[in-house]
Amino acid sequence: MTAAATHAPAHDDHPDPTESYLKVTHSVIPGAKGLLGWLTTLDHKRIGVMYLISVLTAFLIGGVFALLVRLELMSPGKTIMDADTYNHMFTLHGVVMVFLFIIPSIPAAMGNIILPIQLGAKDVAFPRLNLMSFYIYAFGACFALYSMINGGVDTGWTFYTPYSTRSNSFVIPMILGAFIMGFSSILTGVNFIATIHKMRAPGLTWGRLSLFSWALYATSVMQVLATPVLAITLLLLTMERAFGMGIFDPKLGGDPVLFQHFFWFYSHPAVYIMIVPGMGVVSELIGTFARRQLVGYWFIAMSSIGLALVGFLVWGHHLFVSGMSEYAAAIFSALTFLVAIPSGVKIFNWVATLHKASISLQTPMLWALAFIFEFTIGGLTGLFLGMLATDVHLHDTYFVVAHFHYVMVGGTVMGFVGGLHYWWPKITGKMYSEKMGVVGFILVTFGFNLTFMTQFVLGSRGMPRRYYDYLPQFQELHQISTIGSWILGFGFLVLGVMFVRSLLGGKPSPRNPWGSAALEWMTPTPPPIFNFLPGKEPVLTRGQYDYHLATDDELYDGYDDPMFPGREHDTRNKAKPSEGKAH
Amino acid sequence: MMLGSFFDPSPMKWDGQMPESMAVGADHVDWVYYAIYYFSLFFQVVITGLMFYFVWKYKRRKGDKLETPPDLTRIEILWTVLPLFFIVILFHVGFKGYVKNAIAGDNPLEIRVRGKQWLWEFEYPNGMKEIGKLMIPVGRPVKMVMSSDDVIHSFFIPEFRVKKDVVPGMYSNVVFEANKVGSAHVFCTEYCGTSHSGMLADVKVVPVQEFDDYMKAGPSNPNCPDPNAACPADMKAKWGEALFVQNACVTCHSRDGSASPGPTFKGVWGRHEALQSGEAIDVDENYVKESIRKPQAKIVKGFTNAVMPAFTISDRQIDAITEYLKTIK
Ligand code: HEC
Ligand code: HEM
Ligand SMILES: [Cu+2]
Ligand SMILES: [Cu+2]
Repeated sequence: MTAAATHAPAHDDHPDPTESYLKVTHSVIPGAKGLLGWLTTLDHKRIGVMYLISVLTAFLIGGVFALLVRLELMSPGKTIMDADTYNHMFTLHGVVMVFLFIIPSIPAAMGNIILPIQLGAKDVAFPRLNLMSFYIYAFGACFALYSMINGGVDTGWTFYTPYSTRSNSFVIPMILGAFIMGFSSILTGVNFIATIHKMRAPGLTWGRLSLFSWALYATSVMQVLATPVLAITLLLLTMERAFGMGIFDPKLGGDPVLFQHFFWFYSHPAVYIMIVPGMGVVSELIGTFARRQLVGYWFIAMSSIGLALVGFLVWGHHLFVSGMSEYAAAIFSALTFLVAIPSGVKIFNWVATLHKASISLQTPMLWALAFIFEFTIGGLTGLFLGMLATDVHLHDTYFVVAHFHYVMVGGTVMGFVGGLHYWWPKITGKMYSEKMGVVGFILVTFGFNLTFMTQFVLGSRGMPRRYYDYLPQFQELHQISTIGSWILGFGFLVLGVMFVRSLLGGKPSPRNPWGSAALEWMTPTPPPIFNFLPGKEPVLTRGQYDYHLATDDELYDGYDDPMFPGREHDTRNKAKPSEGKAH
Repeated sequence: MMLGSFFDPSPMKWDGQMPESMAVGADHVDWVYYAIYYFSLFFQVVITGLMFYFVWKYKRRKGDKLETPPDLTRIEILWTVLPLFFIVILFHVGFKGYVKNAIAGDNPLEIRVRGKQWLWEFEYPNGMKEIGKLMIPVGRPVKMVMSSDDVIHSFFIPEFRVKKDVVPGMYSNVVFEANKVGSAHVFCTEYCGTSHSGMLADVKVVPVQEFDDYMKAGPSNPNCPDPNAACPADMKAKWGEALFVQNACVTCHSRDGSASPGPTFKGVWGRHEALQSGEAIDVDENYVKESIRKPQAKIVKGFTNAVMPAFTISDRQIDAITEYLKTIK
């Protein structure tokens, strides 16, 4: 940055506001630098990056557990581990993926980095609270790690009582971990809600809010409302285990099904906490790579809110065979179907946006398209489970495993990885190899569909889930699924190598590599410490997807734009007059 | 799902995605299943098809104009409201099938089911108990009255399309009427610990006559059908081995010396066993009998984690198992 070079060296507690956030920071300890500067930072982007590193680590650990689980299922009986180890493995896989990876993945990691920039804000509303949320997450993760190192848990990630009350594995540290991480989730939610309400740049009306911000808003509301229920439930379970208070265990006079109600009262909304942010990312990707205003902006935005509300009313669909009355089952089934509508609305609008668009198939867009394909399968197979007659047969079989992986992996993870590709240049200032990206993409989607498509058939045919051993008639499909998981794992390995190579020697990214009209691309890449250069704080005169209103300078500061081949591009960020759209 | 018809490797000649249908309500469930399946397939193909078509047709080219989309409010409302109709229909057929399967026929045969870690015990109206094997007369309504001794289990017979949790502290019911002679499995579908996947039972759907005969005679040694005639030891042991598997002793007792929740039975006969109480005992007929009927009376040293359930099997069956234990060297 030329400006930085001519400045006198910045004062310790007044870091140069034109310098990239990767170089300077403001922190709890004024003047902290290097590693300490990261660990004590108050900059939402740095906090986001720390989350990102944590969730990627969790994804790696959870992924290794998944591959081991699949390997064990290669043949009936013992393949590589005994039954108890297997039960620990699938539980740890589920717990790590849900609590350590997917819940914080898009909101806490990507949301932290991108949301304030998309709002044209300097930071989140409460930067100190934000840092604290991260440390609460880390503290909770330590409990989970402690449990794992000591032998883990074997209860399934659902911790159903009375098994979890009686299991002699390390249940208490694990649920305390989940309990503590819950607070992190609540505080992040509160912070985001306040930020979205209070920190929007002038001109950034609700109708100009990015759809990613809308999605995070809906998610935050759910986090704030639902997570306390989980906290109470886990606390009650701890009291039962530790002090023998009879709450859920019938031997102590408790009601085991009560636990399931409590648990799903949180965990069904949690399913939307996991998927809605992914949908938000996809909306951004479609907007940018179709280079067109999204069709049905308000419908997409409100469907996120709709999911957040209806999501609170359907928890009972997890208990159709647990012994609820036929009437209750009917009501929960009907409400469950309602959820299909906002999900469908989103899909229709995304596809409609592609109509008459100008579509570029760069890597992030590939992930968005895969998301649409796979999430549609995930959603439609949900109909089988909302239907009472078929749910009775399919409940707790591999059909359910396939269904939620299509939603969580085919949906959220695809959105997460797509978002990572999309915002990677913004975060690191580096480009990556598109070629490797495409190879990784093909491997992951092919492997994923091979792994989980087979599981629908397994489930329909009656293969129950959480099974260490199975009847020989299921072997062929299990083997195909396991082979799929290797391709999937290999695909992620390729992506990992790609990103590491980018970090080590990637080409520097231009300000706006994708030619996006969204606000976060209007500021230098990587962004300066307070997101926008001094004097260039944005005042919005158009929405985030108004390509017809965006100027050439705003859009075509990238490179590789097929519309302008051979155009001279600057590879270093310059603060352009158009930045901040303040003209 | 989508690939359902491409994979049909099953040796059991199952047609398509659902297992063979063997009970009265099952065909309706299948009908519902395939109805949503084709409904979903249609939408999947339309959505994916349009997506690929648009991506191909509107690929970015030089000189693309960046337009705003026209006002689509009408279409928006259409595709928000139209699915409501589908949903009402889907809900209706789904609920009908469910209620049909939840109502028992007249005068059902009541069978008591006890789920324990990790076996199924069935008690017939005449008091006869069996583990790991369920006899069902064809063409007669059956009501399973189920309870659990420890944690939650779930009773699932894919061929009948029925499933219900078996919850400690309460009774739950499953009703069905088998309409085809043949065999099927009971699976446990609520995770219940180490041998959750071993918690299976064989289901035999037999003609009514055969069922009644079976109820009268009780389980007898198939190798020595006449209970009054002498039976050679090896014939007894053979039955004992079958019982050992059927009663799920295998889930807790290994036979090859490997570690298992209960003591291994490799060389168990005559073994000098140290007990938790500090005493010791030689494994003989009486001790085996007591271990089966009242397992808590004498606990083998070091085996306090798993609890062996009491078994109420007949003396003849215990004899056969004892005979079998002698042969595991
Ligand atoms: C849930 C697991 C479980 C099942 C099922 C089970 N056992 Fe056991 N069994 C144990 C345990 C644990 C012990 C050791 C503690 C004790 O003595 O009660 C044991 C002990 C025994 C002993 C004494 C063994 C010795 O070495 O002294 C015999 C005999 C026995 N079981 C027979 C059987 C038979 C026969 C069956 C099937 C009808 C069976 N068990 C089913 C768990 C089980
Ligand atoms: C990356 C590839 C993945 C593979 C190959 C994989 C595979 C599996 C397998 C084999 C099971 C065990 C099924 C059973 O026996 O019931 C399972 C369970 C589960 N998976 Fe994954 N999984 C993957 C990714 C994920 C992700 C990203 C999530 C994030 C939410 C996730 C969430 C879960 C959950 C919640 C369970 C249930 C655990 C339980 O039963 O307690 N998985 N997975
Ligand atoms: Cu749910
Ligand atoms: Cu079980």
